[in-house]
Amino acid sequence: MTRIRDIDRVLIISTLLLVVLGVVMVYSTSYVVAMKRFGDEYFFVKKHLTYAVAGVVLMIAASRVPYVLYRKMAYPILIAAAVFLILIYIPGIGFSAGGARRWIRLGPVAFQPSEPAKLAVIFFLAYSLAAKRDLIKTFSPGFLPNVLIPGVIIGLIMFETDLGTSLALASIVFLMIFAAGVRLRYILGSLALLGLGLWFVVHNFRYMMDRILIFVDPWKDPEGKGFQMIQSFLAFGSGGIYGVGLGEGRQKLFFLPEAHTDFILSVIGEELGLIGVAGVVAFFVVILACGMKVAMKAKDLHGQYLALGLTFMVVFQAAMNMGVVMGLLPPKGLPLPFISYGGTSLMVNLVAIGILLNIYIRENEA
Amino acid sequence: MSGSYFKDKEPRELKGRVYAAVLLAGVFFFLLASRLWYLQVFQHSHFHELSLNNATRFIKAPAPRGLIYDRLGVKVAENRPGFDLYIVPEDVKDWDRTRRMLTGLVEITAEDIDDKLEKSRRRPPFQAVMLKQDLTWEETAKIESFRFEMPGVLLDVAPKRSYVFSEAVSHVLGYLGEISERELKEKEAAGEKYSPGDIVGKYGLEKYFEKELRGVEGGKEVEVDAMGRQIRVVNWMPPYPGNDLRLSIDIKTQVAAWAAMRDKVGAVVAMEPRTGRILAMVSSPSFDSNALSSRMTQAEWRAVIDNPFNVLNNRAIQGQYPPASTYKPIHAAAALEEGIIAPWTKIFSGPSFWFAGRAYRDWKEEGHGHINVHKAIVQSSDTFFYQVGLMLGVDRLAEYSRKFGFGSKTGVPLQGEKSGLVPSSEWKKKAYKTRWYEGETISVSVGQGYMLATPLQLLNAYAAIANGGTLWKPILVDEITTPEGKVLHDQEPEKNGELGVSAKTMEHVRKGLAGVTHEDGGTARFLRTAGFKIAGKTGTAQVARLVKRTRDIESIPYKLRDHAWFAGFAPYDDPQIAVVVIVEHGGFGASAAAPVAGEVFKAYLGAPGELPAGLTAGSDAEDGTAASVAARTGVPR
Repeated sequence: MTRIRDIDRVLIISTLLLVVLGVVMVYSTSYVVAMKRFGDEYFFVKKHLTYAVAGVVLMIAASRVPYVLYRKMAYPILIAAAVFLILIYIPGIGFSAGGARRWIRLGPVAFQPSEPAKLAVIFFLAYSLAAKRDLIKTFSPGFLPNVLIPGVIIGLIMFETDLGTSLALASIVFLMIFAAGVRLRYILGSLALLGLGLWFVVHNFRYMMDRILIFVDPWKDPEGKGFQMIQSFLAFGSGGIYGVGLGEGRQKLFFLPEAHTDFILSVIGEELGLIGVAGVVAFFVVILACGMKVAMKAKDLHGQYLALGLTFMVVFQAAMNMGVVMGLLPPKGLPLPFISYGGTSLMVNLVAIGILLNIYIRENEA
Repeated sequence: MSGSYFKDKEPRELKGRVYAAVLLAGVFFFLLASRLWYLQVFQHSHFHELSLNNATRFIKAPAPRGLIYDRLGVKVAENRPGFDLYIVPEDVKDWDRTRRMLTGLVEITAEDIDDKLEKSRRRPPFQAVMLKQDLTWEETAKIESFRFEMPGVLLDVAPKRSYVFSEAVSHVLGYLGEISERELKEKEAAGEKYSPGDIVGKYGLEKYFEKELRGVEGGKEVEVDAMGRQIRVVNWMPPYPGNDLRLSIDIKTQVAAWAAMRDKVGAVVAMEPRTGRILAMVSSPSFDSNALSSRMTQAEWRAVIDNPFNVLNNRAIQGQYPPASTYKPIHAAAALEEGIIAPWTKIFSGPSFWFAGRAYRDWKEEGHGHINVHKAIVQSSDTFFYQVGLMLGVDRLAEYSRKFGFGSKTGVPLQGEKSGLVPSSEWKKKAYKTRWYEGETISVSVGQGYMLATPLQLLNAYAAIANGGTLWKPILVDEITTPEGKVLHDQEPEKNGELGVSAKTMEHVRKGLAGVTHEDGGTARFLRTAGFKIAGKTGTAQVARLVKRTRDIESIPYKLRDHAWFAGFAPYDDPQIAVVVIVEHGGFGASAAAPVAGEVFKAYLGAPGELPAGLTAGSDAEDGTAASVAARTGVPR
């Protein structure tokens, strides 16, 4: 009993600690830029704090909603996600920021539909994989729809030039079908096809090619495209083991672009040092462990798949983001869950934790 | 609920595959941890050093200076783009070739280049060194076409000052120049932010109103790497232009005055007697504000400094001359007011006046006979005023002189104004430690001797005579506006004082001045034909005691010739303009100075017409400024 109760506490505490660290770091990384651009050093952190509070409320709400709902609503949610992704292209509703068209505005709320779309895909797969459990080894109902339908969503996300999110989502899809027992040759075959497609895309879109070249050697173009990468290294490197101290970092002062969004971990590395970053990594590992536990113990197959997908969603994105800022993966725009500035991502990830908690609660009812 | 959702139906490979996935994640997290170790521990000192070398540098973008307009809105100072030649020494491949090409394409010597490089030896690497300011169009084109054969050579555009009427207004507007070390210290002490290389007003209104005209410098913050190479622009702050000035100067009158003074040495000042607004201020010889503000070479600069006529002197406010006969009306006012004489008192004014065994001569060899004060002003009798002056005494004369504004600065907004000199017995004791001699009173009573006045002081006194007794603080800038046109300061007329002389006395003095130009025997009768009634007074200031008086001034060495004065106002019944002219070593006031004043009156009061010939305005005013002056028809005066 006690061991099981520990899981939800650990999950909540880890998540909340990361969120709090996020608020602190968003302030530390953005106050100079906010002061310069908006004359208000709290400009970003005020917004971020609002999203964080809203996200925690949503997390609590999600932990109370029986997760069966996501099975019953799988298709309507999926269709809604697709509609939102298309709405991006409707003038007056969709708008772009930072060079990519990723946002829609409904009334006073602006959000990135690609974030909730990830949830929609996971809901669909969890339902579909569980429902087709007996036919999972077949090609058509077992493999094809579970790849094609998420593929449409991923394609839509990729079309808005959000390569990072689409790749992250594709990884989740493959992991879920892999875990559900889809034949390995289908998976490997489709992966090979995907690789071919990716190769084609990269060669046709200059900016993607550039990103990869920069990844290979950022010092080739230190003043241009390799700039962000190098500045990220400098941030990590100058932090050392103990860091230069909270708020003392230099890199965020205009050297490191997007210090408060995708590259926030670099500033954590600079200001809080190896100890700080290792702490962040450790918390994500804890979340991974808890999520896996929930998945293994869920009382039905749908719950298991759902838990797997949601845990992967949070932890994979964290791992990919860390890989990028540390120069292990080619750059792509992905926020660090719970920490990076950005309301949609923060709330979606907190909802995911909420659902995990609900699955955990249900399994203990039995 | 379908059974397929239940846990007992869990696929048998699920556990294994999940563990495989977790293992994969574990491996990845392990890689992250190692990478972290590598970056933060292993490479710490290397990256730390690189990080310290990250720096931003500020590249200034000077603000366009405020524009200057005349009283009716004609632009007299504006900004135009000019090209400056720069070199980035680090980027130069072949010095010999670059030097050879530069000296061939641009008017610059190899020594100049080396000199500039030497001076900026301590600059940060990769910062461009300015070689030459404000290239001509031809030089710009040449550099542009050969630029790729001279790596490291750059052109940059910056706003340059352009004075539309150039020499005609140069003493009022002044010129610009690079801030000197001394100025830098002064500004620093005053709490103003300047840095070496900044351009500041060096003279005239450009200097006096530097704060208003300067604007707010902008610039870009560029990031540089450890080598000093620019990486990217971090921040761009656009400069904010300075405030605009609207002068009291009437450019048409100003140009006419300048044209009339062209071959003469001296000054012209004109004022609106009702308000103290200065309508024209010319000092001759003049200088080229445009050249001084930019393309000046060392040799040209020397030529300006060494000019024997001291061109940088604004004679209107810095030249101090004996007012001579132009002082007589002030003297007359003092005598009338003090009751020494009445308007009808006749005094014998012969060819000379004997005092203490010495003859004090009148300018008129045959003398004036028995005359009253009116005639004495009209005919400019010396012997009349010698006698009145003796009765009045030097100290009472001094008291009135000071009331009329002599002996103290007028407060015109220009640097370096002189205060002239009003002699008195007390002053003599202080300055020379001797008592005052009566004979000296005789000299002072006709504005000679120790008495000294600037043309502007005299003008101020005559404006007060014209307006009935108010001494104004001269106004040069009427209005200061922001670039958007919001009025920051609207100059109201400001009194320096009231003369405190009765209206009756002033009326007698004015009548005398009208007689000078309109009555038989008046010294400037030729001005009566102007089409409006001019009242005024001529004056001839002795430079040296002449052996022999002669009208043939050519026979006298230039340096010994008298200074010629004219001071007056018009129209007599409703004075709109008061004018003072001094022509150094011009000979008689009537023949040398009065005609110049006539031109000025005509330009301001006469029918609007062409600008005086000879006005090339020094630059090609793009909006037809000169034409717009001429086209100002029907302006109510």
